[in-house]
Amino acid sequence: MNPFDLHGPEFLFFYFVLSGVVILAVIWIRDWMESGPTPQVDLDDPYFFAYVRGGMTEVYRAAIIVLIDRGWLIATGDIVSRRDDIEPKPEQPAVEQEVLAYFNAPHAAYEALQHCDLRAAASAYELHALELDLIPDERCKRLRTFLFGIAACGLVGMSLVKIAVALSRGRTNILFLIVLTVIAQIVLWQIALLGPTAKGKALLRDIRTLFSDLKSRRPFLRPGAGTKEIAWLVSVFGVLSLPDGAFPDVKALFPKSSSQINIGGGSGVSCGAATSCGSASSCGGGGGCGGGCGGGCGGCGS
Amino acid sequence: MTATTSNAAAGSASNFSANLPAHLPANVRQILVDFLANAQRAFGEDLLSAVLFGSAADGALRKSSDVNLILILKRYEPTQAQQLRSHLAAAEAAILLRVMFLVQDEIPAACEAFAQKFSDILRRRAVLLGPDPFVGVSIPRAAQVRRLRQVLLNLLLRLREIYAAHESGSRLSLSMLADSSGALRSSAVLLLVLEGRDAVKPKQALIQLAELLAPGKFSGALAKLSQLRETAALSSADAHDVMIAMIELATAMRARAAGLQE
Repeated sequence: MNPFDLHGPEFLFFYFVLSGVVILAVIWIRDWMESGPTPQVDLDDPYFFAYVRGGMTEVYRAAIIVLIDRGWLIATGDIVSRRDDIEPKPEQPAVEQEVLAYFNAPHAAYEALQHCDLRAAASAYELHALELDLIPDERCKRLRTFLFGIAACGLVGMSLVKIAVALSRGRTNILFLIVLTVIAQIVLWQIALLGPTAKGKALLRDIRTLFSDLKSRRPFLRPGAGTKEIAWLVSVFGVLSLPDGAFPDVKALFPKSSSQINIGGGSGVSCGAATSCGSASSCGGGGGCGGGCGGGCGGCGS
Repeated sequence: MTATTSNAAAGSASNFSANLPAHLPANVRQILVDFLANAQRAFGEDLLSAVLFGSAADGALRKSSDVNLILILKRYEPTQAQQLRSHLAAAEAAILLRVMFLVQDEIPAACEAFAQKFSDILRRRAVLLGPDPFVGVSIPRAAQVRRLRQVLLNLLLRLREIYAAHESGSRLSLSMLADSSGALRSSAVLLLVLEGRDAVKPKQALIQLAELLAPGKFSGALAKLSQLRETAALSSADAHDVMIAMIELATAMRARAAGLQE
């Protein structure tokens, strides 16, 4: 049977199934290429797991929430500022020191996630995650791009041939096929190129299992009382895992990005993490530059 | 899940795992192994024993339960404890690990001062590391009676304050109510034991004692209290009923404890 002889709806169904098979194959091949023993990681820094889950953006998002919960930062709507009597302390995690320094002057929280002043501390997490193969290194990224290229070319080529056949037979109802092709490419792009490695995903699964009780205790969390729990909850499961009633200001803090946060599964794609600031930490792992949300350190040049 | 154990835990996991109660959930086991390995690394030879007690030791652990651990130390050195801080924070967040750092020669004084807690420890414990520090330890009856009365009075005052200060069913009131129920249950166990009855698990002890105090009166409220501990949710009306019942129950238990022979 020649698939190009199928009529419109039949071919669309065929293409839909084929896309699914290709995407599953890409997932399998990617995981196979990137798999290995899950590394041993100390449970001493929640922000590291935020990095693996969603890159630098998630680290700073978690730190901002932790510091607000601790009362060291003050949120008014989406504007955050540091309390007058608080200074960064050397014994604090570097990320928290950086965030406190940044909010010496009031800023919108979501702007902070994309600002070049907030990058240096998280670069240590990037190095550590790269050492442990939890996020893709350059070689891994090339392999992912190659894999994406093959799969994308195959699916696009299939569509182009069918469109050519349809047009040659005087049929012009090709819009649905074009839409389906675009959707397949977007899904493929996310599946093939973004997110932590298979080892990173395995580590996140493990850590989510270890902290599953914390997630089920969410209704009991009290603002201002459980910063350690908040730090781990937000770092491991994402900002949206916070109980709504107790932390009503979170959505106001991150109106542009909170809907993109992945709670409990998936690859933890994050926006802005991989944007280049021209520094050593130019490419945030654990997710790369999220779809269309534009990290943008434009003009930083540092 | 072994993937996330620390390097310290990897070497020692087998030592601790063998002593952990079999009924513990996998995540609790993993976190305990990890924490104890780091405690050994931090305190070195100053760490003499580690004892799990309470619901984690007797198979009654729930997702909302604390996991209680005592570290018996030769001496408490703040710089050593500081090395454990981040690991303790992680374990607290993950499994509600509560750790008591007790220096060896403080055991008799602690048993007397906190007679209710330590009588529970004597009944329900699992030694994870080192020798059992509570072998041969007994707590004078007079100390247990006095402490029981203190705990019940303290609990009663706290419940009154929660009732007066917080709207029934609010997140804070539910959280405090759930916390208070633990003290009420452990008091029920000790009260029954001091009356010469067999020790039963805390939840059953409270039900049993409530029936002795006022047959049928508290059964509905205690069921709702269990629901609160299981689900962390209770309607405002139910929370109000449970709070009133707990205040009445604590008052009745306190009156009964007042009649105990020292």
